[in-house]
Amino acid sequence: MKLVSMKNISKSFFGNYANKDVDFDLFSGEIHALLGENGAGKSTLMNILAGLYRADVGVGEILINGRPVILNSPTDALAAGVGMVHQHFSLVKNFTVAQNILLGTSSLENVFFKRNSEQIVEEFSNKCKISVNPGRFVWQLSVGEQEKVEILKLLYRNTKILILDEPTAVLTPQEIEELFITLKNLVKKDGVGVVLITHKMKEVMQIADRISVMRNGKMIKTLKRLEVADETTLAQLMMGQERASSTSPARPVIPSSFVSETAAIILEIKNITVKNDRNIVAVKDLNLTLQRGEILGIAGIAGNGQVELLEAIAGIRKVETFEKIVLDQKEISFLSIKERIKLGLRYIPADRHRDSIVGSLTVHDSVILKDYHTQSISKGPFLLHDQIKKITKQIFDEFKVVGPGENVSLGLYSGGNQQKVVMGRELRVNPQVILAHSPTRGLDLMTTSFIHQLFNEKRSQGVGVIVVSEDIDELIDISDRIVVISQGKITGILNKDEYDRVKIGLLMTSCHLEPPVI
Amino acid sequence: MNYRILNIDINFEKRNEQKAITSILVTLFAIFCSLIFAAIIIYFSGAAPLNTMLAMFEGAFGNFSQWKDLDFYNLSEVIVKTVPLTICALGISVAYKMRFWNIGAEGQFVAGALASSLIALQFDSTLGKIPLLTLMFVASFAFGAIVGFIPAILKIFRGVNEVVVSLMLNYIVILFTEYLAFGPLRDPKGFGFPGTREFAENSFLPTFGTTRMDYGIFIMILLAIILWIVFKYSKWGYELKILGENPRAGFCSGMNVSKNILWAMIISGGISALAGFTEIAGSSHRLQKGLAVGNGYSAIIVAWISRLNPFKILLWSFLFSVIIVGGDQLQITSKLPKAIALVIQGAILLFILAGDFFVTYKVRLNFLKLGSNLGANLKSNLGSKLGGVE
Repeated sequence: MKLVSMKNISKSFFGNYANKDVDFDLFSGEIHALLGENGAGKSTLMNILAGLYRADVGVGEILINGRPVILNSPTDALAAGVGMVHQHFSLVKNFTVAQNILLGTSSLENVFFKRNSEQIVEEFSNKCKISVNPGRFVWQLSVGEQEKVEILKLLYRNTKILILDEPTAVLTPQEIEELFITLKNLVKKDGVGVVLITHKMKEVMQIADRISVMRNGKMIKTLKRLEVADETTLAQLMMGQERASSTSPARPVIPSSFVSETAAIILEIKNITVKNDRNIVAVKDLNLTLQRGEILGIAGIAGNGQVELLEAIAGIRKVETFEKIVLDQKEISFLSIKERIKLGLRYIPADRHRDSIVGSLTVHDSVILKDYHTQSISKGPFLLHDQIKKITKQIFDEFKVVGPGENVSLGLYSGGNQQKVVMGRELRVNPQVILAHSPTRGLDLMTTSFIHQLFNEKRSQGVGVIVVSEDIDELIDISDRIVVISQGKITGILNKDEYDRVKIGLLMTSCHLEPPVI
Repeated sequence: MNYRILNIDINFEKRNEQKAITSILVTLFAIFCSLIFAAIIIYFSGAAPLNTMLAMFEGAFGNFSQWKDLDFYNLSEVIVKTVPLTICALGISVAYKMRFWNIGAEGQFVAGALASSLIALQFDSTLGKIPLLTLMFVASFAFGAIVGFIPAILKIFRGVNEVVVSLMLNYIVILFTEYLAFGPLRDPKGFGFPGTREFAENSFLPTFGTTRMDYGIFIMILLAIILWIVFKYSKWGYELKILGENPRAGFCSGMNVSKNILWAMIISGGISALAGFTEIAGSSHRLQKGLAVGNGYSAIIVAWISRLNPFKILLWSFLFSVIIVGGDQLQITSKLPKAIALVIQGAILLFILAGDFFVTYKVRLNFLKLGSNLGANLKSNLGSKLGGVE
């Protein structure tokens, strides 16, 4: 039986299509995997089905159980039997599992009388064969258990069409295994279907009945799992055909002096292990070397340890264990952030607004953020305001910053110009090593190529550059070497002549942890 | 943001640059509004608003006949109130600059008074004026710094909310000081009066002529100038500002967040405590119950309204003192409760905060032609109804 049929769905944000003429359907009793790179439009499509977004008016229609529906809100969607578990859970931490499940659907007595609520949920969870402990508070639960509560919450609301947005991104292998068993049980019931949004091909091959691949907002292909020979097929569909030869500008040759000398290695990292914010190991025994005059690309799907790695090098994040982190023949692992900056280690974080600019203050304040204590900007305990103005002007000229004025807060500048200010700040001071995380994300073509050009310039001056990006094409364009990282480990190192989108894509998604033991 | 009421399209646009003149006009208008608001309250309390307000003015500034005799007693009383309020607000502003919410100025103020008193009790017969006052000054600062240090250290090592800790410390410090004044430090010859003996002249700050105004004014002005320079021109002021606006960016750029919290609170507490020093050495000359009259709390409002600008803090403290001293007058002349003054203070804060919206946003009204959309809707509604009847 066909549960859902989405026909000709388009969705544009400010003129850019996130979905373009997409068809999608879901049968009862199946687990349907929706596969694609970041930004392929998977989540947008499912958000439309869940009533969070509205598809562009006039084209396309959504049928549920054969009847056309109009979904204006998540409430409408729930009424039609569609429920979605988002990456960020919507649970009340200080309520018990039972209260969370019953909240809003049952009388207040049932919610707040402990015995009533726990009994109802106990019975219901037994019926669904999803075991939870109704009396525990949500803050006591692991992420995997919270996921189960979310699912149960939707089932209790009579959801037949269950959408899970990247459920495995935050789960341990054991929890993933358990989740998959739960899902397989679930679809055995009559009239239930599951959509699994993911970009992990291994899991898709393990659990999905059918697979739909999206790329650039379009539906590329839908196939049965049994038809798929191996992951390479999927990777090819996901990444698209290999692009024509690189279009980046001709590169200057690196002066041989940098290469021949023994000090060619500018940054060496040996055996570092770093934990993420959730106190789980994110980077495991990783080794990396960076040459002078090299742009090293790090490819990987978001959340595989890239942030943690860069932050550990910059000194922002604690390193759990390490053998050495050597910058220009100097051990820096015990140095503070400030001391590392002084040695010429400049980090350009991905989240500008959070980590590298102060949007509410003027441009001047952000321009001197890392160097306000240096000789050229300060004298004794005081700042030299004239000097700061001069530097700002210099950055505006050299890095082609355009904005509403120097005394206007930086937050009112466009994203591209904010990034140029950051680039100016980091490159102005003759750095040794640049660590850049997604430096061109969300920027237009002009700014992107300008930033690439800046990296190339620095490279020819013998600076070592590490660029982390989720955009493989960008990395292929600018890097001299690409390191692929997955689950905190390096899964492949490719030299310039070995670049291959499909191969990189496979390395990005390869799991090399031992299969979970149950 | 865009709203529509009937046929008026209302558009809010964020201003690129905030003009000084707008903010001054908005402030004046907010004061005006709060006076109107106060007038309404006074009216409903059964007094004549205009006369009452004039009485308040007279209470704060005196009247013509007094001025003719060069009698500025009332004004001097206002200044006497301004000094501790300003110093507390200046102290608070240091912590607030980095968005560390020090609610403990009241306790730090009392800690400063306690320190000054202890020194004075001990040494007022043995030390000369200048060493004694210096020692009192330093001790006050140190006591306040210690009180400020506690919430800072708890925040740094345990992540405890500074609002709760600094607020609770107020009660601890104030009640402990009262215990001392009632018990161990009580003047045995004081006929049961709860407080220490009066200190010797050595410990007095000089006053201006016969008024109660003391040299604490100079401390206040000097502090304001120093803080203005620190905030505007120093590296430390810059760090405080950055850590207040975006602590994460500051941290990622190599600033030491913990060290800054610690120093900000030490200095914040220390400065607030200097108000206790001027209070003891300037006017009260003994430690007694009732020292804490809420300056530390009013200072929060003052610091907030002044946007942590030291010179604006001076002005606003003065204005608030005018209202307080004038409010005292209310009780005498109109038999109105003194609390009216506090109502006006609160109203000013609310009106200023509300007015802030107009400083940051530009409002555009766009009158649409009636009949376009609205008319069409009405017509179609009407039509369908008529159709139903037929």
